[in-house]
Amino acid sequence: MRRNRIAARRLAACLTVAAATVLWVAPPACAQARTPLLRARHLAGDAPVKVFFPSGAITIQAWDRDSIDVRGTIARGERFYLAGGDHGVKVGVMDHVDGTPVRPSTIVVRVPRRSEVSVKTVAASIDARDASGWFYSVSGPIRLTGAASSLEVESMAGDVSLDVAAPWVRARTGGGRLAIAGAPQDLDAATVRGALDVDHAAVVHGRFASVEGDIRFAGALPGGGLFEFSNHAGRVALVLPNTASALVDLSTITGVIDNAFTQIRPVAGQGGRGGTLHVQLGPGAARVTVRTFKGTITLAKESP
Amino acid sequence: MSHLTEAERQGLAEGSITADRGAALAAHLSGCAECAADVEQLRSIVQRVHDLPAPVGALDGLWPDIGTRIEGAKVRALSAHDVRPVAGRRLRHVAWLGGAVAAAACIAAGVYLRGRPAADAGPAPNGAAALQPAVDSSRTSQADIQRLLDEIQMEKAMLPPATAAVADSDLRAIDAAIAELREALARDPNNPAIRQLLAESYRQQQDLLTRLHNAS
Ligand SMILES: [Zn+2]
Repeated sequence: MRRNRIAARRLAACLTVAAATVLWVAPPACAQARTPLLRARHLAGDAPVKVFFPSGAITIQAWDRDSIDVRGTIARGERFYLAGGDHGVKVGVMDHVDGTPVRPSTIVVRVPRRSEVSVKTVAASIDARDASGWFYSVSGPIRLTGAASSLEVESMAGDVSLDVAAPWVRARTGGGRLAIAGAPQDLDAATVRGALDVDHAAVVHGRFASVEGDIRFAGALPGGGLFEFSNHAGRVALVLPNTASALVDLSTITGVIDNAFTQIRPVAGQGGRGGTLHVQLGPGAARVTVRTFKGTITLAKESP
Repeated sequence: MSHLTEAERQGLAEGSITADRGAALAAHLSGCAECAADVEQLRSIVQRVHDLPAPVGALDGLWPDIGTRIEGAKVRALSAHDVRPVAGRRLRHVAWLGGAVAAAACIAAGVYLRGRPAADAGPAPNGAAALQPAVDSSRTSQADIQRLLDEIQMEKAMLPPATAAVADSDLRAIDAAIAELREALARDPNNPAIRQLLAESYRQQQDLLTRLHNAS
């Protein structure tokens, strides 16, 4: 109760200062000043940063300084560390030798923009903005935003959400949902059982795969774009704008093809099972291939 | 007397504090068991951190065992033209929409698709005949993968139960897909779509094993 009151008073003070100097003090500076500084040090602009953070929430932000800065609150009894030199550091909270769960902490790590970060968590959520590198969680959700030079994202069981501009992105999750937006130019995305949703992302080359999860791609296809979808048992739904220009090649071994885009009906496969459908939409500037074993393939028009 | 700050303790542990400043801090340590114990704990952590291998996102360098075995399978089963050149340190393999052979060879060779698609990813030869060697070799590689699956049971036992259950369900889903595709391929051996789906399932299996390994 008392802590809440103090927090409320602090927040009020913070807001008052922010309101009084709205053009001069951005509210995040207030929040930042409040979060205890755990450690800061000089770091070469392209130095690798390796992070192990088992539990809680970690935020990574790239900044235009040659230094690393870690703020946050470490759970009582857990040990934070930052080790290394100007040309690379390892940061994190140690796990327990006896395998007992690590209590959740919260940290914000600021790294040089050109750093290649490697972040691994067990249950902790990862939220990164403008950071490039490798992001891995066993079960925590991963959310990446901003611009990056390349991204590799993997989760065993957690949800992965990407809204990034990057020339190269590789994303994997098993049972979690994989949601993609932004502009990942060359994208290799896969789930095992989780849904894979691509929502108006500016993809140029895309490879999308699942075993049982439904794949839904909504949005435009750029001229010269290459898209390959494969699914074993899950659906593949392409929802394309009326103006789409693509050569579309759909095939399923035992599933159904549902074409709501054109009048052309699919050709049934051997013994009447499965089928194939080849259609040209508009001038046919992009190439799209969809294969499933038994998952339904649908081709639909985006409602204007 | 106030205790050492976090930065001072971490600096002492990693030895990045200047000598004159270090002397003053050492004086505090000699009279304060609490700070001394913490710096000692940090020293051992820093040592462990230095000893830790760097986390890697891909198969290469991460899993020497699987890498070696699968390289072996590749040499045995794939003819030279099936194996595309790799660029750079990280085996930036180029199976990008390149067609069935590249995709199947990728699985058979265990080369992890993680590269930026290179400009030389031209169309691969297609058709059932061209596919044959790659699929044969994927069988070889499948035996290796099965052995690794057995080995990885230990690592899976270290996962939190809920995550291990998810991993199990994922592995079972992929196994079921592979079994179904093999059966379909036995009935219709010249169907390139089935081969491509099978190659994709192997890729999924291998990706999952890598993720599982990274979890431990
Ligand atoms: Zn002390």
